[in-house]
Amino acid sequence: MSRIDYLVLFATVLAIPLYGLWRTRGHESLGHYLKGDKTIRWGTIGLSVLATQAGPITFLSMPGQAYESGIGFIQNYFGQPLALLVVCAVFVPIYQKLKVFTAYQYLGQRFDRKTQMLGAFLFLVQRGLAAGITIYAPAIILSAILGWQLNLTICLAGGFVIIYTVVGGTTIVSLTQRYQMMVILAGMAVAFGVVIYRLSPDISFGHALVVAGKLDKLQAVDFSPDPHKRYTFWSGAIGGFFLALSYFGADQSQVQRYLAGNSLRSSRLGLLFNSVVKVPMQFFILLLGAMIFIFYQFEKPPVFFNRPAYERAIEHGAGPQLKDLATKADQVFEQKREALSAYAAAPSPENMQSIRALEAQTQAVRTETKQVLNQNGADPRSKESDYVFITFILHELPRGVVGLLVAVILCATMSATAAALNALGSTTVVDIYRPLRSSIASDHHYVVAARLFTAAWGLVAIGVASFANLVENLIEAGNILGSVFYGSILGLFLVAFFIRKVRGSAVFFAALIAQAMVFILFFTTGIGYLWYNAIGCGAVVILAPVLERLIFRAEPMEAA
Amino acid sequence: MSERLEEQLQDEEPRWSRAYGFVLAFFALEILLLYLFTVRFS
Repeated sequence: MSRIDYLVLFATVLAIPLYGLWRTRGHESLGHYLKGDKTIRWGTIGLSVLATQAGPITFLSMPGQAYESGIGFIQNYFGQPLALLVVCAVFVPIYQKLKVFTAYQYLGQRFDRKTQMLGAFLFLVQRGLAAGITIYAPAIILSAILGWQLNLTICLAGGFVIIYTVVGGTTIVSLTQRYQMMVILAGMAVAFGVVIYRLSPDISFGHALVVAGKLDKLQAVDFSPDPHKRYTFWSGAIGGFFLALSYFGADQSQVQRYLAGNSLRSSRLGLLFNSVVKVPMQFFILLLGAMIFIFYQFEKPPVFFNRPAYERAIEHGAGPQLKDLATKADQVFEQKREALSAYAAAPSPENMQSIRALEAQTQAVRTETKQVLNQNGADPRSKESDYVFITFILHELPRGVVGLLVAVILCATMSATAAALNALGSTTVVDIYRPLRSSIASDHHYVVAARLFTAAWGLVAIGVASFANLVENLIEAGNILGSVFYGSILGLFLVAFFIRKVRGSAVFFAALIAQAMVFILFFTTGIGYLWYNAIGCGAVVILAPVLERLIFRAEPMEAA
Repeated sequence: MSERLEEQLQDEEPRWSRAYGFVLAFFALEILLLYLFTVRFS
């Protein structure tokens, strides 16, 4: 990166939180710290919800996902618009009416304290780990590619977020997320424009779409009923619906975003904004990845995008083997480029057949390269596709824009982490600390406690990030973690809303059994992870009335 | 405050129902366009 890139990077990354700190100075009540003030309007809530969900993984890994496997990942979002409508119609009015600070407070009011704490505990475990991944995921890639020290990158990114989240609470999180999301959207639009512009001498945008389609990168919708396929319309619409319903309805990091501002109208409009823009936004990010794939059909790509792992293998003595593979890759690339130019000039099925055959050879060389790396102990530590977009940014974008795009990744990291820490601190104070305290304390006491817990969770997240070693694609890691825990949490809320006769003990034990069942399935079967949401939720909804009828019916009613 | 919210909810319900209908229609259109995109480019 050049000096101008570093200037753009630091100016963007620092200016937004500093402005936020200045805007939110001098507020001290617990309500203000946890729920923000009335100046937060629906546009800010909408962007804040969008930024909380997206995170760095969306912008760093998703183009690589499309580069490798096509844009089918879009189907994971098909359940989201419907889930957001349910949240708007059912969840938001209840939270606003009861004026709760956290979603789990509602469980305490509807059931009992132990159910409130169970919901909060499941959330804290899941979100605490996920916050670590949110910091680790971009840090491992940026440090590897830019030569930054991994632990220093983690500490700087995490440390800065801790400072401004602790000081400003919910208002600063929402405010900074608005501007960070604007930078992110602008940066991604610039990247999309550059890749289309860079393609133009070789191939038109229309032809690029045709070629990407023929090479299986543009299958957005797949109606296959096979439950073992990760991305289908059905797993996205059904599993994705439950994932999104749990996430938006029962994950405090989102609930806190749309309850900010204290207005029912703003909360609903912010969520409806997300239900309209989410699928198109993800589509364009994935399409960007597919276009980068086409770009690298005309510009020679690296044999292996994870350059640091590749260089480690050379140091371990795999140089000659890798050199042979690189030569082979170069030859296939030249043949493929000629075939593609011929296809662009005069499209024919024969040309496309030879392009497909050459692409299969390219994939074979990449697979062989990965095997050589593994055999030589050059542990890649994360999936190669995660390095595609950052490689494109650093090598193909003009000076200044590189800094902007690295800022996009850091802004996304900061906004998602800030929302997580804000929610973790609030939940610990409201659902664990306050119920366990025997004496009444002042608002100031709880604000100080919320700040301390937020800082403590920040340190936990940095700790998780420092020891994390991902085995799956970065996008998958976050979603799998969510899917394993969310089902039971959502089940608690659905029973609370719709099955009036069930009381605290029945739903508490139903959630524990459901969570154990999901863990067993996760470790013993290979079903698509999105289904765990539906299974966990379904188990709670079915088991709770059964337990209530068979075991807990004789118990006297507890005071809520 | 919560009584006021109840009243507000009841008064505004028809408007919100229309908004939800619009979002559902938009979502159906998105799926249709993505399906057509898949058919055209696969």
